[in-house]
Amino acid sequence: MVVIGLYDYFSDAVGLLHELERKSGINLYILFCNNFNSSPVRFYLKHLRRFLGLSFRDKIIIARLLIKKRLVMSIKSIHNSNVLLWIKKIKPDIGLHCTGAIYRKSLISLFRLGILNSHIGILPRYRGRSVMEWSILNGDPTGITAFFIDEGIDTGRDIIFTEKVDLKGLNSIKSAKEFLFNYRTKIFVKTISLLLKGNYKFQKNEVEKGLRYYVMSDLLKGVVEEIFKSEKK
Amino acid sequence: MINNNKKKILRKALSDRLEELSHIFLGQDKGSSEFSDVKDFEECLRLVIVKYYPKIKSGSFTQEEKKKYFNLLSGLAIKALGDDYRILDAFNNAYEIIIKIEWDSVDQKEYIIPFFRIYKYLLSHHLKNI
Repeated sequence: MVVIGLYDYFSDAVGLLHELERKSGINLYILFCNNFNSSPVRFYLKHLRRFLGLSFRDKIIIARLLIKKRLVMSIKSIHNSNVLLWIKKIKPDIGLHCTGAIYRKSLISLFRLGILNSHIGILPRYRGRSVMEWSILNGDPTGITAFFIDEGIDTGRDIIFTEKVDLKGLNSIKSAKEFLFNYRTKIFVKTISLLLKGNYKFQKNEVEKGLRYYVMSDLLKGVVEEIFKSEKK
Repeated sequence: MINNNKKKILRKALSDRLEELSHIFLGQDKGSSEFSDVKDFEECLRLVIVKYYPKIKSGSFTQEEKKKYFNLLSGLAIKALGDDYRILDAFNNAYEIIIKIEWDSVDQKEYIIPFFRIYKYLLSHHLKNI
């Protein structure tokens, strides 16, 4: 199975590299694009700074992938025609969504099975941003949903699985969010294993049963922080 | 479902925000009967937060975008009286960015004071109903 991890930063990708780089049955590529439209100098400096901040072990993994030409950087956006051409040449089965970009159909259709998202909210109820915080405010479970994306915001039709994640052991909303973001790598690995074994059944993402949420205000974030801490007691 | 503990925390936060607002002179308060409403509030909410809010936040808005932002926001006022806190939060977000910007007297009169009046009414309404 050919997998391309679509990332913005090295630091986000290393967790996945540790898990999947040498896993049998997986041909892993990592693609970094300039989705924030930075100048080339800024783009490379940003990545160099992140690279230098990695541990020796992580640097070795990155270097190994670079030598094998499995790690590709482009100063263009992910929708640039040369980037699309490269992806097409690789003939990927799956993409892993770890960028801030919203993908067009022309990109999504290059992946045989699609592009996977590991969304830090429970679908179909919670689409969009700050969903962990909104779930806590509404008294709903927190967790992650693995699904194949489409061009909309968390509206992709096929959910592979949903996992509730209890965050009560964590100290703050910030640490809870970091925990969920890091946990996404495990969800990707689990999802790929399920897909490799064919051991899954799609669940329909019934968007009409949920709502799109937006970035929460400082006022409500403060409320959620207090709720979170008070429920730990 | 928001339980009693959450209600208490929420009430305190809204009350503090209302207290902040009470230091701003707003003239005569606007009643809810003067609020406008929109047909497709989901789309209106999306436009307010996704399209116009980032422009206001970055200070890179045109006169037209500013007008649109405040008009759409006031169009959400009726829905913001309900228990869908996403709508009230569009007003919370707006307040948090508006107070960081220096508005001229024309903007103050045309957009900011009317916004504060609506927001004050919404906060009072929710405080009564939590």
